[in-house]
Amino acid sequence: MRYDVKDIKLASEGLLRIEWSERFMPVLRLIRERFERRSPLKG
Amino acid sequence: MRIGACLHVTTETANLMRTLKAGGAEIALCASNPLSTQDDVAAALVENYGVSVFAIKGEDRDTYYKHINSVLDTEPMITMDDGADLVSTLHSGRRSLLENVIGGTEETTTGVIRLRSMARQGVLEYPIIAVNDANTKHLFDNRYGTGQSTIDGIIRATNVLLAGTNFVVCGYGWCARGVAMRARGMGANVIVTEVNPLRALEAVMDGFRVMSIAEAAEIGDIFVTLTGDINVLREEHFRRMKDGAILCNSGHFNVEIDIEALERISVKKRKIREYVDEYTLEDGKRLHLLGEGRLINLAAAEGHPASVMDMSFANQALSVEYIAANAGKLENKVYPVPEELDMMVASLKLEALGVKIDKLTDEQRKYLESWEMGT
Repeated sequence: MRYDVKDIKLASEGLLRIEWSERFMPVLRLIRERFERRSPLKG
Repeated sequence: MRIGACLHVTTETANLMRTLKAGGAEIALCASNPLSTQDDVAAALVENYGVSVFAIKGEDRDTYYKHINSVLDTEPMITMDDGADLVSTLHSGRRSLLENVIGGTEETTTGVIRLRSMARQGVLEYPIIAVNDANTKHLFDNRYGTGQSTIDGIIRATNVLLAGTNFVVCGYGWCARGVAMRARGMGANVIVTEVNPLRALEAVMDGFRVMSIAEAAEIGDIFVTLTGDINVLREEHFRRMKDGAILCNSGHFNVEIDIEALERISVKKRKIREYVDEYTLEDGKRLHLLGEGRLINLAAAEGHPASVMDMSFANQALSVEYIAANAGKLENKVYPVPEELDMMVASLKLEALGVKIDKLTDEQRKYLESWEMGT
């Protein structure tokens, strides 16, 4: 997979902050759970 | 489904990317603004979520466009844009890739204006859903999101006390309304400038002082532009401003303050603290430009809070699903988010907040549908 980011070693820090945001995004979470079951963007 | 996204690379966008991944998409993501990228989030998206990210905070203009082209190299079938730079690059230099594309979404007011103008000129080559225009987007993200995060950006950049300042808001669209409302709440004396008489009148009746920028320039302590147009603050205004005035922009592109003119009329420029450039004019007056005139809420703060992006990005995810389900059935124009999706986002958000609302009784529904019954 190609990518261009500043420093891949920052990932663990980013992961925690993404998790923090996720707590405030309940609607997106519901959609994600439905997407996991139905895979509407496959193919 | 391959998706090419050009969005602010923030924690909230990361959660949108996770959602699309969960739906089975392959995603390449680049920044929609050279200063808004959160480098740790970019790394986590690559390392932990398998998203091809091309974004580095502070990248120069060439790298910014190189990254847009890297996303286009993945031959996306759906585009997701915030400001329409991806769509316009695709329509100019990379036209051979257009045949793969079934549709796209656009996140912000500025992008929707650009895309509508493409559609009007008959040059838009695939359908776009204007996520910005969903009620659950602009009434919340633009107003409460930009409102709070712009104030946050100004404070983080300067640590200025807002109480008692003359705080000039240029524009009175949804973003500007949010900033005006929040600045008033912090004790600032808010002045609004507008070009649209209806909006100016609304600002007056909302209790703000409304005047021309030329008048406001002489008394303003802090200026924020949120208009979507160029050179809102320019030389004639800089010359009238008070020593120590603070200038920033929270509109999508860094074009609202005429920085070239500011550079030209200054005899000295220095970075007095992170995100603050001090320009000294010939007469010794100092003007302070925040975040190089780029979106201050993303440059100096963290962009909109997740709670409001939840609704914007729910619209994005549902719009992408809608485009995938309706491939080939849509015309090459700018569509609104279907109303049922918009309402669904509002219902789900209320449910998540634990707020219950009433339903119409049969009698009330019947009354609304009838025209015979008066008093």
